[in-house]
Amino acid sequence: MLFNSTLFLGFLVVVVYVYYLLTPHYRRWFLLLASYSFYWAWSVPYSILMVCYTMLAYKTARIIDSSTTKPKNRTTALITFLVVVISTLFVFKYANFFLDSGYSLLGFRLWPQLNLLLPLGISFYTFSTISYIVDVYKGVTKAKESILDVGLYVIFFPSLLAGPIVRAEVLMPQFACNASVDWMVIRSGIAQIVWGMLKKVYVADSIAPIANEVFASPENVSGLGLVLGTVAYAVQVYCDFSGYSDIAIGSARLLGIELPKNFEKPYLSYSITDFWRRWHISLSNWLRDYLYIPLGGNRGGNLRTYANLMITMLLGGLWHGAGWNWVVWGGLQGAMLSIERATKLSSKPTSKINYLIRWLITLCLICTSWIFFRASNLNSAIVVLQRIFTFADGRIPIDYRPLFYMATILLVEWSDLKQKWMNWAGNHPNLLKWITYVMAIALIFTFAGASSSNFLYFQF
Amino acid sequence: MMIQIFNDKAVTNLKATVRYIAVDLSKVLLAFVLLEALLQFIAPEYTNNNFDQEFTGGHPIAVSSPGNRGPVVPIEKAPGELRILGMGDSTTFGTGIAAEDTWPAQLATVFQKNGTKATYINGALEGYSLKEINSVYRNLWSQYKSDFVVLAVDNNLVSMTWFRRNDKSVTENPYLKPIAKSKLADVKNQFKILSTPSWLKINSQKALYFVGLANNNLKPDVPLGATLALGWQQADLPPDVAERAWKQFENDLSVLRDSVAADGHSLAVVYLPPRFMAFDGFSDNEQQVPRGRLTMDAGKRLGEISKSLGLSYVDATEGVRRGRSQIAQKEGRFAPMYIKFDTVHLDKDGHKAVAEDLFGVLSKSKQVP
Repeated sequence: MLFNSTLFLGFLVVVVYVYYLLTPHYRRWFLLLASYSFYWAWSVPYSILMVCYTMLAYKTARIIDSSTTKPKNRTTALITFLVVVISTLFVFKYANFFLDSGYSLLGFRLWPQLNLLLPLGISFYTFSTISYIVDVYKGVTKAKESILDVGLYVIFFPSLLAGPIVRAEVLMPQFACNASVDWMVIRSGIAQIVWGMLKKVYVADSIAPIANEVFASPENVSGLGLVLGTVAYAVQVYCDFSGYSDIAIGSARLLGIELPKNFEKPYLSYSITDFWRRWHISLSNWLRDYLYIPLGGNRGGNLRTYANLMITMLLGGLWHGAGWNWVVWGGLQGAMLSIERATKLSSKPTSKINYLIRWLITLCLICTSWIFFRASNLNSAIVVLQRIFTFADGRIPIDYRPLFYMATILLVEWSDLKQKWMNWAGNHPNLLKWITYVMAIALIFTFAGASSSNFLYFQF
Repeated sequence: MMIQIFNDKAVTNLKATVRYIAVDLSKVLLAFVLLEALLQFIAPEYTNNNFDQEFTGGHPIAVSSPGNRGPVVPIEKAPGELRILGMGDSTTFGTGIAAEDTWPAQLATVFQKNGTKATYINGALEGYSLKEINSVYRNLWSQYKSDFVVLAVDNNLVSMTWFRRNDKSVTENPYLKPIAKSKLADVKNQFKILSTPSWLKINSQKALYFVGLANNNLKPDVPLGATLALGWQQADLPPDVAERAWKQFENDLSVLRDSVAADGHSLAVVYLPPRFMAFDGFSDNEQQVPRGRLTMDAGKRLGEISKSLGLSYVDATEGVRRGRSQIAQKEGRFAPMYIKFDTVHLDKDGHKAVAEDLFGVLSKSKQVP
């Protein structure tokens, strides 16, 4: 079930309404049922995988947290859990990638090609459950006695498919589901959903055809056309994913559950380091807490720090997708972060001019790295870069709209329009109600006219 | 102990919500009624925006037993009768207009006004390809011995001919099958005759095109659309696809020409331009077709093909333009010449302009008594 569909609008209204009629105990069961229904709209068989994840995480956490478990067995339980969930992710997501790479290198296949459908949201719920088990192991959080809490944590529908990746200690206590109807909170949730829908449906989707066409056949597009196509993709990926996050956060808020912020004006970053503090914050935090710091973080000298950054970002790249373009994208991020660290460019700019120059350079670097993120493979990304830097000619007329959309985004972010809208909506309940009605009608007509497009981050 | 499923305030909340929804729904309903009344008064063109098996723009589709849109025509001609066979796709069939307003019917009327006892057969069908037109001609319309066989070509016919080049069978005429009536279908039709849904749908579509959410790009694997015939450039579309489509069209047209020639007649071809090519106004390009991507003049290309195949040819582009300005001068109204929010299908005035253009050419023919 897509967030940007009439079905989801109806589903959300019904779920929120019934949820508040129930007592807290039944709300939890209802939320679990609603979340599974949400997933069943995509696939019933694959929901079994989530049941398995739930039971495995529940049992592992109980073993680790038990006072009778020996330290050695605790570690064994942790490692077993990690091996199982990472192997599952590997089989579904990376097996064919490594198989193809092995075939290119060795000339024969190590195992037959697997034709498996990637379970929706698997990268996200794998990371969530890992964070839960590791936190229990580290004593940050206690193992939950009720399997219902763990089940809800794995499948909570607003954050199921594309995050935010929420830590158990933040989300699980909220599954007490004892919030009473708070109209201020509900209004805030609605306002955030409206904002997210606007970004997804009317910005990301409107600019997607430009990026899609350009990246589908870059050899037919001029260098300038490819630059504009890349800007189009920069707009698309941001509005698509942050729009999704807004809808997810808003939907959870309607149920009285607060999810953490996932984006904080990333295109206003003054450095790549700053960018990763603002972009997909929940993933950045996860990579920092469960990969970078366990690797040693910045505690082992400069060279070790750079190596840790590279490893973290390479794996972060691979998490996004199974392809060499993702590896290069992650490697680029790691290299840029290391360079910034070595040259002290990650520190805050001291003047407005300094900020402006560094912001512009950062934006260009981010957009350039998006080429690897969007291209269908590494060769295609290289073709795009070659054509851009050789000012190649193309046969397709250039569409300058991406510049307008990018300028609009920057202006909106710079003026903090989202916060202003949220405040305004909170203070004008009646107007918000009618805006929501109009928006809902407009969305229904929009969805009826054009087929709803998927969210980009579902593929990860 | 009884298990409590609903919270203490559930009943109160339920009642409040029902009341709340009832009040809001009443307001929405009132707004809808007011908007509907307003639109019925100021924009009646949105009414009956309904193109399906029963109605086309509010005009019932009456197809005679052989499958032509319009009255039954006897196979044998009456003495002195000038018979016109119009062939083509949905534009000729008359999507959005009445049977008597299609160009074959209006052409017969123009001949009648000029003293010729003319009748017409509208042998077109929506979605036809040239191969299908040829097949239907040979198997059905050939025996009607028409004096004029006219093929109307719009851009969709070119792309459909290309896309369905390998099809072996001919599409069945769906109007010859009995229509299954249902109460639900009746309700749907009643809903569709309201202005407000069409107004909302059409204007939201316009907005989508305006912001680029809907665009004119062709699906690379299914390159259908009016712009293919105009040499639409798209990065992920083979650059020679338009040329190949026209080549296919030329081949199939030569087959149709031979079929008609075998009956002792010659085929005439008329080009029906898309709205965004016939006119330059903003409202004439509601779907925001970027003309910079178009590399061909379809009317000119069809003229060259017709000439090379020895066919009479009329490019109705100028005729349609002239029709609009004449209506503005004589009747003082703006004539869109195309049905609402459509770039291809002509309206009654558009068909009239085509008919008059065709009359100018056909009336000089020796077939006219």
